[in-house]
Amino acid sequence: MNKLQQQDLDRMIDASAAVLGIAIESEWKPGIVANLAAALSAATVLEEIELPDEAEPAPTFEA
Amino acid sequence: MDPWASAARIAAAVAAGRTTAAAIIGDALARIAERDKALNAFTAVTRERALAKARALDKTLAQGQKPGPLAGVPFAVKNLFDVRGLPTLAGSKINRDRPPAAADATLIMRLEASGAVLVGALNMGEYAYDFTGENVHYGPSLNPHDVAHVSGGSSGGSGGAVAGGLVPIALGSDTNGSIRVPASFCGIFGLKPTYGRMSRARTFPFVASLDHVGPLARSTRDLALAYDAMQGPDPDDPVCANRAVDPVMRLLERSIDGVHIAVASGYMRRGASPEALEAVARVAKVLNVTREVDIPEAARARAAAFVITAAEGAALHLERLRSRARDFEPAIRDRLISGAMLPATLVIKAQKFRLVS
Repeated sequence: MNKLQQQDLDRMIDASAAVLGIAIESEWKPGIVANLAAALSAATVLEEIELPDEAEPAPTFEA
Repeated sequence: MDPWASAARIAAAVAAGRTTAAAIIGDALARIAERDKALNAFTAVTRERALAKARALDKTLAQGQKPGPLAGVPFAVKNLFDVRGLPTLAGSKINRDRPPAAADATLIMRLEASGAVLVGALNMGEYAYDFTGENVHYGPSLNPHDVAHVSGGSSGGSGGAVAGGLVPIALGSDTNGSIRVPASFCGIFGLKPTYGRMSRARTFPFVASLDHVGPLARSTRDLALAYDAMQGPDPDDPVCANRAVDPVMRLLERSIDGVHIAVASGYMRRGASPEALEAVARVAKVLNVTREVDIPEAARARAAAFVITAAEGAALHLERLRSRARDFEPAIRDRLISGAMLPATLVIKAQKFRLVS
């Protein structure tokens, strides 16, 4: 994910906005690009780890 | 009474008949009117309700009823808690259009059942997706130690109201630090309880997987008082643990012998300023703590929280992003829109990582 180019992010945002039905104004774009890049970058450290096929999601922790 | 009086001291004075709840609440309302102009901690003051509650409390005490552990203690709540009769803003402009809340949040009910008196709703970062306590719609909540500085967020008004001496106890919420950050910036104490330990019923959500609610106060004793008053299962919150009340007040009487305390090292020290490290060292010295622990996978846990927060927050607000994107605070709108675009595979991996790690 960290090798994504600016143009890839731009295309991803434009296509996603159309699918999601969110009208993005041009001046919002840099902020959205920066946030999406940050989230995808954070996700790379998660992608590095291998989880067993049996791994269960943990939507909640028990108190 | 001294404006810095603790909740414990106020409740003891009211219980002993040395003062009345009406006098305490009258003083608190006067302080808020005078000092909140500088702090911008409150977005609503529930004056009539508070005075009526205080008078009713004094009447029952005069009739010989046993005072609750928080008798006459003023408190306020982050404005994502439902307050009967007010729209639940959650720091937003958009939520002004919501109908007034029909009932108080469970935690407000529980504090009031213990004798505490709600005096208002507090400023916060929009939809709790904020770290500074700034807000373009309502103005920033400011730091009582120096109003040229932010309070920290997103429970910014909660930090400012307590540290500024307006109320001894406030409620906040914490998804990724929103109680801990303002408590730290404002030099007070905040408690983020274990997930599911406090009812979130009738609070405006942010990230269902990570949302917590809890108290802020100027002492650990007051935190414990508030926590004990709010504990317990709640059928109105499916996530709230079905666990009996387990009071912690009595634990404060014990020494710290046998309590496991260590300094977090590794990831937790990286990026810390020399001042922060010095403060940690001082506390460790006072507590005679020498052990360090490196919390495993802290960096990945943070990444997982980042991804889950963006995606769940976006899912919550998607319809509002479609119809009223311009009415969001710009920085928060950009975070939420980007969260809506994250691949679902990443979010699911983040949730699986939480269990495996």
